[in-house]
Amino acid sequence: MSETTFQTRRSFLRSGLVGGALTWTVPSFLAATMNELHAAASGALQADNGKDGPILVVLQLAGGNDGLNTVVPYTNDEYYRVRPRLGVPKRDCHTLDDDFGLHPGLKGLHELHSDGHLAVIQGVGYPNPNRSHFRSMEIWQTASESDRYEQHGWIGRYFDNHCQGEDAGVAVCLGNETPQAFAASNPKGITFRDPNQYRFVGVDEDDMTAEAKSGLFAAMNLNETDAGASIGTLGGGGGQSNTEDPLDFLERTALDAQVSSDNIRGILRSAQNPTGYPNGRLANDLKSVSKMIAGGLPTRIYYVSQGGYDTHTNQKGAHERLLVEFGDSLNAFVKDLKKQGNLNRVMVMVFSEFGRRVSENASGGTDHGAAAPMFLAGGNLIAGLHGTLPSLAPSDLERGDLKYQLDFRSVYATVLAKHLRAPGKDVLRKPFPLLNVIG
Amino acid sequence: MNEISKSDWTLARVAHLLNRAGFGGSPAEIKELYELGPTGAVDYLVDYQGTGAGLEPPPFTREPIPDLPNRREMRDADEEQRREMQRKRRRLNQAWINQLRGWWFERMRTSPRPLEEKLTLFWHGHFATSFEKVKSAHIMYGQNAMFRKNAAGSFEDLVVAVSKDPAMLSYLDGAQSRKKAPNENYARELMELFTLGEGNYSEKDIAEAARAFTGWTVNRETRTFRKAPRNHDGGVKTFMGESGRFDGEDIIKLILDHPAAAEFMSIKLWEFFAYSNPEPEIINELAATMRSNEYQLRPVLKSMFRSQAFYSTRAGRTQIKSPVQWLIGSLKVLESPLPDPGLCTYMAASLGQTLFEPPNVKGWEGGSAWITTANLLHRYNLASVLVEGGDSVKEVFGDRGLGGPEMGRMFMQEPMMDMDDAEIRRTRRQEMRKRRAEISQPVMKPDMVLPKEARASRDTARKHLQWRLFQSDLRPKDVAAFDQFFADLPGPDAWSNEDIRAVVHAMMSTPQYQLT
Repeated sequence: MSETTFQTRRSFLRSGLVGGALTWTVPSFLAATMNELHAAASGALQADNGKDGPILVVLQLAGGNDGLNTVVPYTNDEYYRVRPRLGVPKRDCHTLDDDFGLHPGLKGLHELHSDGHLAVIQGVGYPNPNRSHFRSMEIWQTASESDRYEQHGWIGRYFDNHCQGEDAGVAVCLGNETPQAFAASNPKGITFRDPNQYRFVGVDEDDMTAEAKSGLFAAMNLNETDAGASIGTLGGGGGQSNTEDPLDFLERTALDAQVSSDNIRGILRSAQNPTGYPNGRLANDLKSVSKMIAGGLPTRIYYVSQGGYDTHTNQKGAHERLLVEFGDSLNAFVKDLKKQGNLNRVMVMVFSEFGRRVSENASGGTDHGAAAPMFLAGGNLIAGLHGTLPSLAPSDLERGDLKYQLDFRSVYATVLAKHLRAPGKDVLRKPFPLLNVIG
Repeated sequence: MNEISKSDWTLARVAHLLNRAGFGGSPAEIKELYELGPTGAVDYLVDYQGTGAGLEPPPFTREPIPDLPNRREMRDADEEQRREMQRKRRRLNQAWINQLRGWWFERMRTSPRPLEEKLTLFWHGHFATSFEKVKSAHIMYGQNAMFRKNAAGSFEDLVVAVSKDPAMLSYLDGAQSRKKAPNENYARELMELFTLGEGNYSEKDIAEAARAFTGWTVNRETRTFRKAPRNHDGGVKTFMGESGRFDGEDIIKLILDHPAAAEFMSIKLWEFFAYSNPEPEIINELAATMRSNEYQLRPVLKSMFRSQAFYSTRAGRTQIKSPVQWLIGSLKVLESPLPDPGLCTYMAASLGQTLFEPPNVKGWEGGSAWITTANLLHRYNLASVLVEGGDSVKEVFGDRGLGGPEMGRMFMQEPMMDMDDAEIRRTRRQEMRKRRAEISQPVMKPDMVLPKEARASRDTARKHLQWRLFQSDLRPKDVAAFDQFFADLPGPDAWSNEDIRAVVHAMMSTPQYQLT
C-alpha cells in the first residue's frame, strides 16, 4: 500500500481534504482528477505535456550583495586601495581568469564554473540607480524605469502574456510574501514558507465536528462551478477577469488552492530526500524545489531568496558565511538536478537589488551601491565570464558607485527569449539586446 | 439617481450599507441602524460630526518629536556612533508605528463614526505613502489625522492638505524640489493617480506644475510644512492653457476645474464603496453633484449611499474583503475584542495589507488581487486563530513557536531604548512566548456568538449563524450545503464551546465569507 493510500478513516480525514472530500458529494469528474493527483503524488507521474518544459529558478540575494567582493578584480590596484581592510587577496580567491576570481567562500560556485554550469555576468544595473532597498528591489521586480512606478511584476507580465489558461501553480515562491515580481492582472503563483503550512488546518481536530467540517469544506471549497473545464492539470488559472463573478473567482481559487496544496504536499511527502545539501534555509528551499521538479509539478518559475546581505558593519565574516551558504547550496542543487536528468531544462538566475559602494566604510562594511554581477547556473549555457566590470577609477564612479554596463532587463530578456522561449518584449515593454550566454 | 425607498429598506440592505460605509456590525447594530430608515441611517453615517469621536491616539503622538538623532551630535559623531543613533531612531519609530497600527485597528472596530474610519482608510490607499520611506511614526500619524479631519469635507481642501503633508513631501520627493531642480514626481502622481487620470494632461503640464510646487518643503525641526521662498520658482508658468505666476494652490484649483477631475473621483469613490466599472450615468450624476457642491464630499456620499444602484445585485456581496475589512469585520460580527495588536498587524500584513505601508504610490490594488491560492488558505487558517486559538496559532508562530525576525518587527510595541542587542533579543523572545500563550486563547466568545436560545434546533442555529456571519441571503446551494453540515452534526443543544468554535470556523472558511 502506498504512502498516500489511506488506512483508516482518521488518517483519511487527516491526510487532507482531497481524501476527506471523496467521502462527500464530490462530482465524479473531480473525484477522478483527485485520484489521478494521488497517483501523481505517489510518484507515478509521467513527464508529459508541459512537464518537461523549461524551468526558471530566480534566486534573490536580499539586502544588496557586495559584488566586488564576490567576483574579485584581483589585478585591479584601485580595488585594493579603496578596500584596505575588506579587499580579498588574490591568493585566497578561486580563479576565474587572469583578472577575476571568486570569493574564497564560493568554492561550491567555483566548482560549477569548472563544470561549465555557471555564467558570471558583470556590471549589471540600471540607469539612475536608487539606493533604497525597497525601491531598488521594486525596480528589479517590476523591471521598470527607475522613475516609473509599476503595479505589476515582470514575472506577472509573463503570466499575463504567456501563461493564459495555466493554473496558479505555474509559479511557486518559497517565502512569507508573494514577491512583487508575481503581481499581475491575472495573478498566478503560489507562495508558502513551509509546504506543511500550505494547507487548511480546520479538519485536524480529533473531535465530533471534524467529519462534518470537512464535508462542509468540500461542499463549499471543492465546488464544481465551471471548474471542470480547467482542472485537467491542477485546477483552473488564477486571476479574475473583468466579467467574472467574484464568487466564481473565489470558488475557483479555493479549488486551485486545495488541489495544488494536496498535490505539492503529496509530491514533497513521497519524493525521495535528495542528498548532498548543506544545512540552512536556502539549501532547504532549493531541496524543496528539486523535489517539486523531480515530482513533475508543471511549474515554470520558482522563486527563492537568501537574506542578510546588507553588510554595513563588520562585513568580512558575515559576508563569507553568506557566500559559503549560497555557493554550497547552489552547488548541491545543480548536482542534484544533473542526477535527476533535469539540469538541461533548468536555469537559475541570481540577482541582488544592488551592489555596494566601491570604498569600504569606517565600520568594516560597505554601504548601498549600484551595479553588481549576476549569475546564471544551469546545464545549457555558455559558462564563464560575460560583460565587463565597470571602471573603479574615482572619476568614473557615480556618487561613489560603479556605473552599470549592462541593463538587467537584457538578462531578463535573454532568459525569457532563449530559455523560457517567450518573447521578452511582451514582458519588458520594449526590446533589450540579448546576450550570448544561453546555448 | 433613483433613491432607495422605505419599502426596499431591509435588514440585509442595512447590513450591506454598514459593511461598505464601515466595517460591518453585529445583528443588534444592524437593527439599530435599520430603525432610522434610509434617510436617517445615511444621515447618521455621513453627518458624523456630532457623534462621539472615538479612541484617543497613543501617547507618543502628543509628545514632541524627539530630536533623534540630534543634528549637532550627529555632526560630531563618528560613523559608528552615527549608525547607533540611526538604529535607535529606527527602533523607536518601529515600535511607535506598531502602536499606531494597533490603535487604528481598535479605532476602526470601535469608532461610533464608522464612515470616518472607512474614508480615512480609503484616502490612505488613494494618496498612498509608506512608513518604509517616510520612516517617522509622528509624520505618518500626522497624515492619518489629516485624512480623518478632511475625510468627508472638501476634496479641494484635502488635496491642498495632502500637497503640504510632510509624509507626502517626503514620499514623492517634493521636499527636495527646488527652483533649480524641480522634481516632477509629485506633480505627475498628483494628476495621474490622485485627481485626473492618464490622458488628461501633458508632459509640459507636469513640468510646469512641478515648478509651481517648488519650495514646498518640511521644516526640519518641527517636521511641519514650510514654504521656502528662496527655493520657489516664482516665474510665469503655463498650465492647462492658463498662464500666471502660479504656486501649488493655483495648480490644484486649475486641476479641479478640469472636467475629468470630478468624474475621476466619482469613479474612485463608487468603485471603493459600491462596485467596479460603474455605469456612465451613475458617474455623470455623482460628478455633477460633486461640481455643484464645489467638491464638498458629503452630498456625494449621501447620494451614493441612498441610490438604488448602491443596493442593486451588482453591489450586494460582490466585493472581496480587504484584509483589514476581513479582520475588523470578523471582530464586529463576532462581537469580539481586538486581539493582540501585533497579531492584528501580522494577520493583515501576511494577507497583503500593512497599514502605513502600502506597496507603492498606487496604493493597494484591491479586488481579486487580494486573493491568491496561498493566502486564501491562510485566511481560513487565520480565522481559526481568532475563533479557535490553540494549535492554530502555529499558523502565525510556526511549529517552533516564535516566528521569524520579520514577525518580531511587527509585534514590537516597546522601543526598548536602553538595551543592547543581546538584551533586546532576549526580551523579545520572552515577550513572544508570553504573547503566544495569550494568543492561544481565542478572542471569540461562544455564548456571545451563539446564545443559548439560538441553539433550540439545527435550523435556528444555522439561521442565527448564517445571519450573523453573512448578513444576507445566500444561494440555495450554499444554504443546502450549510443544512447538510448541520445535519451531519449532533443537535446544537449538545454542542460544547469547542464545537461552536469549530462550526463558526467552518462557516468562515468558505469563499462566501470572503465577500461583502
